[in-house]
Amino acid sequence: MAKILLIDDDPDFVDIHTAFLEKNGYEVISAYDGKQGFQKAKVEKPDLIVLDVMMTDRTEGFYTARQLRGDEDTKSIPLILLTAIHQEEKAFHFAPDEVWLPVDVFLDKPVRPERLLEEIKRRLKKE
Amino acid sequence: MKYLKLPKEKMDFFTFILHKFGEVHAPLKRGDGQFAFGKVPTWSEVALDYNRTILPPKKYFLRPVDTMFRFSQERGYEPIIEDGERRIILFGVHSCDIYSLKILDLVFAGKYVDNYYFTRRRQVGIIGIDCTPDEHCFCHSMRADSVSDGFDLFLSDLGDSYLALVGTSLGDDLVLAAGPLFQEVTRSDILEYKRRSNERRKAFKLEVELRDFAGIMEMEYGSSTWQELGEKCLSCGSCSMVCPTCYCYDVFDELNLDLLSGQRKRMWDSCLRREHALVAGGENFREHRSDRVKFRYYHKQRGFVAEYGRPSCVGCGRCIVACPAQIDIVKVIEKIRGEESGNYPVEHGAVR
Repeated sequence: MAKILLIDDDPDFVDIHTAFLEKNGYEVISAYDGKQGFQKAKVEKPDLIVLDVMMTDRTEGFYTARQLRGDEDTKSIPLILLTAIHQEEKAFHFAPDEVWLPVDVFLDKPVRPERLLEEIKRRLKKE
Repeated sequence: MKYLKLPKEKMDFFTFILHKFGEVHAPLKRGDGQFAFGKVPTWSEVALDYNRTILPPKKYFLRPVDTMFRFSQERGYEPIIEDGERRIILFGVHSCDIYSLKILDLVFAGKYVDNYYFTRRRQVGIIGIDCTPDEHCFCHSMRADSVSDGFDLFLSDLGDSYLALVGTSLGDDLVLAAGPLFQEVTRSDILEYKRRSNERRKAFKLEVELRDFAGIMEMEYGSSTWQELGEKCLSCGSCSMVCPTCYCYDVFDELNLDLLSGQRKRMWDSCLRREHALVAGGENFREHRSDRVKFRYYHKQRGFVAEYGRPSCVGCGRCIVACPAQIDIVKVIEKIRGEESGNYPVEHGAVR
């Protein structure tokens, strides 16, 4: 059973997606900020991470993504960035970048759970 | 010089975009209301409204302890190749600290160019930011409260936004990368910039008169003030460690356990330390604390003026804050300028 780490400061989002992903056969662990998320990723070694961006501050998830990619224990875990940042900052377009924003996928919130599931399956299959 | 406007609400995004150009370092909150330059972990830990950092930015260019090269019997001398082309963007540097780097540039570009220093200088981009002086700042007296060069980008507070002055091509690249976050400057922004610039001078609570001071130092070489200062000074060297323009270092070899190889290192030193002027045979040119504290003042306020045309002090106030004996450079200068310092004890051989 693949283990997924959800990092998001919105408890409703975490609860709904935990239930949905568990129903689809995944083990789900969660964290509510970047610092906690990074620690859990190191200890729990999940198969995939779904990471929010705007948490304690609006760019927190970006820094967490860089931290995850810069750490030996977590650098190869597939990383899906799930964020509403483009609703907040319409002028600048954020997109994955190998060095600057090292994530596998950038999904804009709101996203349908099925779409997220599809992306999770695709990323895990690649692994 | 190109100038644009950056809304404060976009600063978090702008800071993250800076990571495209290198590792971003900025003033971060530390315990006891102190600040230190360090790698930015998240935007919320950046403190752009800081007064001063414990250590100045010189730590990025002249490291507290630095390995210069390795040596061994088999391979001889081996240069240290570290960090590759890793670039750092130092974000939120005050004018006085930018000015201090310009002073260090003069020193390290002297007769013997210091490539260790200049290699790092090339690898670090500087984004300056204006500040409000506190009770220990006297950079205005030292003409270091504003800079017109020495930065890639300089941000000045306009209230809801910053006016960004572009200083170099790197600064221009930073602005272009963040393109849509920046806005055109309006006439009212320019008026606000000028108003704040004029207001800023009035914010200084601490001023010191430096007119004719190099000459006065010359005349007061035998003043009893130096003896009094020597009795108070603990010779701990804290003032040198936190000083943005102190550049003395000690060179030593560190042998590996095989005793056949090792590293040559250099480490920050201070002229306040007894060993600083100790030479072979046990002779010490500055044996007494009063000799050493006096030397420090003469080097920074007199010798440097003769060599480079200005004192090697930028008025950042770090030495005032750091001194455990509460020696205050502004009060020392005032005392030397004042009439009461004109006392010449015989043992100090005053009038030369």
